[in-house]
Amino acid sequence: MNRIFLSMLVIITLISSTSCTNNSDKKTELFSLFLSNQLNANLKDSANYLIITYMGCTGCVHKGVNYINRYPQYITLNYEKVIYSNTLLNRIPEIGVFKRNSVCDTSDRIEYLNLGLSGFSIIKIRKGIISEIINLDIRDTKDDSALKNYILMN
Amino acid sequence: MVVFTLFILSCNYKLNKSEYIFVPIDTIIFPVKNPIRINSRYNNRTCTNYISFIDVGNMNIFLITNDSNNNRTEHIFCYKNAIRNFKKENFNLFYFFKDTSSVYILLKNPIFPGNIKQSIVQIDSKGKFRTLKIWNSSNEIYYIQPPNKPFNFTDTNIFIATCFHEAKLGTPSLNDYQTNLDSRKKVFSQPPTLLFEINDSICKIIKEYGSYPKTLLDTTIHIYNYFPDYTICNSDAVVFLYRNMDTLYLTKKNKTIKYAFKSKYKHCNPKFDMKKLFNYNYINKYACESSKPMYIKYEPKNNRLYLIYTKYQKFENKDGTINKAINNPFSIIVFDSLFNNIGEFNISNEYSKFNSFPTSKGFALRNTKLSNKNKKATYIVYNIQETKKTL
Repeated sequence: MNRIFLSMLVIITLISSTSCTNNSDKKTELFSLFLSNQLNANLKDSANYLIITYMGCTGCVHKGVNYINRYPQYITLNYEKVIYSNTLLNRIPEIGVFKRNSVCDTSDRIEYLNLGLSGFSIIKIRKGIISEIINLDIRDTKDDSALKNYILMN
Repeated sequence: MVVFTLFILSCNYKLNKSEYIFVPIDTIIFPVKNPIRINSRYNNRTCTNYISFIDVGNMNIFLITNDSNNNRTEHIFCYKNAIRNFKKENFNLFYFFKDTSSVYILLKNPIFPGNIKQSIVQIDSKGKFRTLKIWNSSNEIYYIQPPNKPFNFTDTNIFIATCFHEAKLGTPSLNDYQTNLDSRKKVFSQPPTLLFEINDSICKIIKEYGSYPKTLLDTTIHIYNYFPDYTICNSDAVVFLYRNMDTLYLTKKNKTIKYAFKSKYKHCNPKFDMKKLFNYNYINKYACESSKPMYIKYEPKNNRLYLIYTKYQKFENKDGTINKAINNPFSIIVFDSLFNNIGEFNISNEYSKFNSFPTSKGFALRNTKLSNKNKKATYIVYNIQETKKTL
């Protein structure tokens, strides 16, 4: 009985880990294609990307953009690239002020990629694949220290 | 013999069966790029068409009239001076007209309900304004809502509105709605409709009536049902539309009558996971992959109701991109005065489901392509036309 239970547990664990990896692989492939096709860049083996789209938490976007304009050093130090969409640039032109390692996706494709991005998001790459995507939640951003923790969350 | 007669009758029925089509009949080009809160009314007594709207950029409220001889008059009411004397956030631009000489704007509920009562500002065409107090006998604070559309034109001083009783707790948050039944009861046990009268310097609430559907007091309710859309009819009646119910609720005098309807594009929506209330990806996916009735609009001249119905669209495309819920395709269902479904019409994606209004000629929809091309808001008026079905 115990053996059956154990073997079932192993099978379930295997299935779930495979589906997670597949999901992550799929997202990595999608993001990597986006980088090479739209921004002419390659995916790094280990890096953090800050993605800012207008879709999702718009309040998070406004707070986040104000913050990075005030403290650009946190971004330059911790992120390979800051990618923002064309829609965002039209809605919040202030984002264009932030020049350091930031790039505008003029095709606006980033707004439509199925990566699970929501407003102000961090994509963490480890060992060449997406290990985590963290979305900023407006409820956690009551003060600047919360935003600082979020931006340095690596 | 009976079978044969029935067969003949059915053939005749098929031969004479009417079908309706939705055809473009007119174009309205606005003098501004982004008019909002557009309202169109036809006055039977003066045979005049009215179109009113707000141009937020220049802080003007327009009233354009077209009489039966096609004489066009433009009245412009600037609210810039009025807004200077009030906090900008208290303006929600919920306006209405009693006549063509002035416009009334309802100031929205202040942040701390209970401290200050709502008030109404009257602005004339020279920009002069005065404030009217809202008064009611029970001395209870009302939150007249939702502020997304103008009131009807009327020949009397009596207006109709929908309201939320603020109660003492204020309007519940989304979480409260789901978890705190007592809090929800405080809102949905109250009548949703009120009548008020405007005199020289006072806006007096005369009476309140109607009821919300009982399902809103169930243990759990669908998130789409929290914030109904409504349309005010020209008599003392309001039609409410709940986004997860295929039913129209007519509140008239003290009665609430239900009318069920059916869309060709109904999709069985999955259950909304309230734990993901603030997960924007989930919300977008859910909204994309569900169908729902969105807006209800009443047109008094022909006594018709227009319902905008959002269709299902798949969230993920084959190339790994996603669709946005705001781009879901839509149809329009037309009802007659007895709430009979006249027809459901598929609308092309060059029209916006968020910008439309009924007119005495039909139903006007904003054409995004033409609006961009003309650099002025361009609406196409559609009307239903009867055609005989031939075999």
